Amino acid sequence: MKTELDIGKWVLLHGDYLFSLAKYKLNDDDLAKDMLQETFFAAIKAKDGFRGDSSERTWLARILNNKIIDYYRSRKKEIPMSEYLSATNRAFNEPYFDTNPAEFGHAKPAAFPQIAGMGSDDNINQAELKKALYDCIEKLPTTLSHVFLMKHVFEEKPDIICKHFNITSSNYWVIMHRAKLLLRTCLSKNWVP
Amino acid sequence: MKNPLLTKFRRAQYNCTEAQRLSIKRQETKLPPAEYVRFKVHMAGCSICREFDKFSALVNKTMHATSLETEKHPPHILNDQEKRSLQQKIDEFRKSIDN
Repeated sequence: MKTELDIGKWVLLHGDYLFSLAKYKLNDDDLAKDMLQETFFAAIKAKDGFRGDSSERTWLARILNNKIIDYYRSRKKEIPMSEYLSATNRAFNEPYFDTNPAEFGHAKPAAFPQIAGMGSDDNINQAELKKALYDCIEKLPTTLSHVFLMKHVFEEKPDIICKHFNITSSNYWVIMHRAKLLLRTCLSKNWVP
Repeated sequence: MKNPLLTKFRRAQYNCTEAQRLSIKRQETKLPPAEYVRFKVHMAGCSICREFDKFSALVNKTMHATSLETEKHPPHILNDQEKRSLQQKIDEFRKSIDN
């Protein structure tokens, strides 16, 4: 893979793509544009650190993602993720799973209603599913959605995500599980295929 | 006397929380043998978790398809003037750093 950056063509080559990622995570045009400019400036400052072990685009997307996370961090006082998870563990799990020791962890069927159309792929309208899913992602608590989006929009590997958020791998699986439980509940209410 | 293996087996059978976490983990990485066995034991008897597993895979598939689409056809576009002005700022910033 090439190790030279093509700074003079950055906007032409990656502008729309990075803008779309930023817009998606920030949901605000002006803020997304500011973040895009900051990303490019930060990338220029860090250009000597580019080794070419990922593509120029992936490298820039990663810087953008860090900028967005910093932006959210600066807006609120953050508690460490593992603390947040253990503090909310019981309240989160109670509606979904039995917390009585004898049947510990057993799912409550009422919390897992059937999602129509799940049985066969052919019956699913992909565009509608995508829209419903994105609406539901927007409703996720930001603590969960940052991790979920880093995995599924920026397509980072779990070990990189864990390092980034300073969490253990078991925290990571708990977060992804919670995100998907909430998405499932949301889709079962809002999605009619 | 309780058979410890049987106790483990029963726990795996009941524990949907664990099985669903393992289902997500399995879709992203390879499970260690002990976790794989517990996952399979649970799935064999639990339709809720089998459905959850399918749901989780569908979410992954949909998100991945969207990512590819965003790469190829970004849904939000900067206009030509915005592009020119941004690239100009980048070039200026680069010069100021290099000097």
